[in-house]
Amino acid sequence: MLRFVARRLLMTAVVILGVTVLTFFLMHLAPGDPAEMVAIARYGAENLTREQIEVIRKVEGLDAPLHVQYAKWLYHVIRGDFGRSLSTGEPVLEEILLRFPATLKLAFAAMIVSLLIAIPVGVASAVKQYSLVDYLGMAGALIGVCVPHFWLGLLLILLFSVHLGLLPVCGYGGLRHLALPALTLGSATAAVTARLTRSSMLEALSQDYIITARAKGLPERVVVARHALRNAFIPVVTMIGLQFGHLLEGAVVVESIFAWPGVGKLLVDAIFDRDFALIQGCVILFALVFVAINLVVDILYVLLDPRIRYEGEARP
Amino acid sequence: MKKKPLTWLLACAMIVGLFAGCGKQTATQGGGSPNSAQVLTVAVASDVNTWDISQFPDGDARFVWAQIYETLVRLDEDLNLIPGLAESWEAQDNGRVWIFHLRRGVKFHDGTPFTAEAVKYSYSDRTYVVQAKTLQFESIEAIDDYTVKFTCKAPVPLPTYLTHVAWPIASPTSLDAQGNFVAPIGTGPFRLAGHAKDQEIVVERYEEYWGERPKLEKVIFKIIPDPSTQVLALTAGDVDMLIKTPEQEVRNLEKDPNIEVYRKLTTFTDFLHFNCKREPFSEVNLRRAVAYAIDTESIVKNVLDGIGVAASGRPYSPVMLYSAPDLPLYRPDLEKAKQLLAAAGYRDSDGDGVAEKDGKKLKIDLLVAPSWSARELKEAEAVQAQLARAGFAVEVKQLESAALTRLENEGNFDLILRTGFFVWGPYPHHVQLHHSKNYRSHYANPAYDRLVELGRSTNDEQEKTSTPKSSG
Repeated sequence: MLRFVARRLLMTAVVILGVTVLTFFLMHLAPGDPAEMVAIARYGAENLTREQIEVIRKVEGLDAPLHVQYAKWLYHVIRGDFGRSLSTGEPVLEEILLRFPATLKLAFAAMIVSLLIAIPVGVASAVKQYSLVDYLGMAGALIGVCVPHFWLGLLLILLFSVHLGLLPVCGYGGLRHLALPALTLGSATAAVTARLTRSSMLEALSQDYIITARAKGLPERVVVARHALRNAFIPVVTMIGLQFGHLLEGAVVVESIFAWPGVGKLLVDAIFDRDFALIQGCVILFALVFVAINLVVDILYVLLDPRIRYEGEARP
Repeated sequence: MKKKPLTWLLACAMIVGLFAGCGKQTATQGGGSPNSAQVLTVAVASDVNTWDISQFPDGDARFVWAQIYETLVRLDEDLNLIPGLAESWEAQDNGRVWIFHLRRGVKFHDGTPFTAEAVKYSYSDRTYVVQAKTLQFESIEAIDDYTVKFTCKAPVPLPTYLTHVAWPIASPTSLDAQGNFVAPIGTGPFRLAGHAKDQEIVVERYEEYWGERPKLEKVIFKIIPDPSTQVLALTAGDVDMLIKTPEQEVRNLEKDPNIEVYRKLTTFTDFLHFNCKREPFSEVNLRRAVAYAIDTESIVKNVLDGIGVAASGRPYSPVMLYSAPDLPLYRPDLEKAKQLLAAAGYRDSDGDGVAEKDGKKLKIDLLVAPSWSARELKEAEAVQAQLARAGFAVEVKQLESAALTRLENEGNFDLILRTGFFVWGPYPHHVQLHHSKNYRSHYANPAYDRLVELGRSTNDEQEKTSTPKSSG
């Protein structure tokens, strides 16, 4: 297991390098002259002249061939210097670290909301297959998948903030501020997870070991919770892992509606401004998070199902 | 030049410096805040991207800047120039040299006195206004502590330019000994008290302000990017005021007894930008046909819910000092549009509703990047439908602004729908967008260029009034 983890960590560097190469060159393929976009962000579109654009191109090194720009950037990153945002001039690392805790907080809260809804609904739907509970649960999941974030978010604000006056409309702060964005973001992922939990549970419940467990006279509660759910959880854990990554980067709409100061909006603004330094910084962060989550998911597999072993480990 | 048949003005924006010293609080105001007597909470769509005058404050950052920083010259509500940090000014050498007499007894927020040195610093080489070469100075001299002499490279109506909130007076103590920017130190009625990035900016009353002290102790600018959330925050009483109200929400807000909506026509103008360097709009009759085919009154009424004034060919807002009330306006006339198309050789010979010439259909692209306001896309769709009746096949292309800029630079467009652009003060600077030297112009007319240059440089009020009329 340790060897596996060590190898995975080593792979991380390769993955991140690959991701940065891809994003760097793909961003340059996108239409729009980075020097001009930086000039607009820095000097405004109102007074822009060709001279200014050329000055920025030179000063920021945007006139060098792409591979040289990339190599230069990489050289600095290896030394721990992520550079400065092209549009604001602020250090990239500072800009990201300032917002990352907010994004992390929102993603965790959304994930908790998602699991609190999804697991009970998924399990209940499977156990009571084709009952009213099942139909209601799955209809709810279908709605959850279909409803766009911005619409659900605004509806929740209307209900809980404007009409009931229970929660603040938007802003960053404690649990009261977190509740609505977490519910908005968590509900869509809950829908997906609930459907997966249901189908996975159904498959598990039809296995021989469940029949054996029931034949042993174990109470249904124990059969479902300890035997079926545990085995049904493997694909669900994979999905949760992936979803957590998406929650981190995909929260842009929710961050915008609830004025939540996270990384999502920072990255989107950076893309619009063609702020390569900031884009690359965010990409490294997201790549790191994805790799870390995948690692955690792989480790969880072993804990959930002792039959799973990684290469090099002796089978019992 | 025929580039502005389509112009709408919005009434829902607010003038800069609204609550500086005057105690007037609202554009739209909610009644719910418990401490509204002393603290005003205002929703803004974007954070302050910079506090340093070496960069450009964009979007709503300017509303915040206007509370902290002041300019030498100010504008009153009718856009007349009035004294700001300069009490008076005079031109020499036909407007190439300007002498400003500064207000005495003004202190910066750190207690340092406001003198000619601060003016020199505020227009030094490190500042945005000089770097961007919008104003080109030969020299700036402090004749004494309270008199400054600007020598420009060419005659320019300098006081008009110096009203721009992005080019204010800052204290030289904004920089540390190494020349690094430390804090925004201005002379305004409020000073910066706190800034949580992407969350809120707090400004507090500056007790030693030279003018009438504001009644408010504190103003909190809450950053709420989504316009719908802003409106909900106002309705719920989380904020007291909005700066830019989405047009479609105004009617609902007016029904709410707790909210007052103040309307004022702004200098912003939405307009169509033609590519005059390629077919079909290189042909003047085609541009005229567009002007006659579009019913701006109907767009203001139906798309913008009656907010704004139909431009009908006016190049800029009627609130501007140099706008011409007697300018003949375009009235929608579909028959005339079709005649003009026919005169240019375009006829619908196959009966599909699209005119053609030499077998080629009259297909045009209308580019729009609705980044400033969602209304732009709706306007573009209305234009598409109206032009279709005259025989144009219009494809609306909604693009990200970088993609639009590329097509624009390449000259690879027919029409662009855009908003505002280089508009402040009494003089319509946006006429410069169409000067042939502007790399985004795609229009070249020596007569127009001459008029723009004259309007930009002259200090003769008579000439200034007649020039935009002729150029517009």
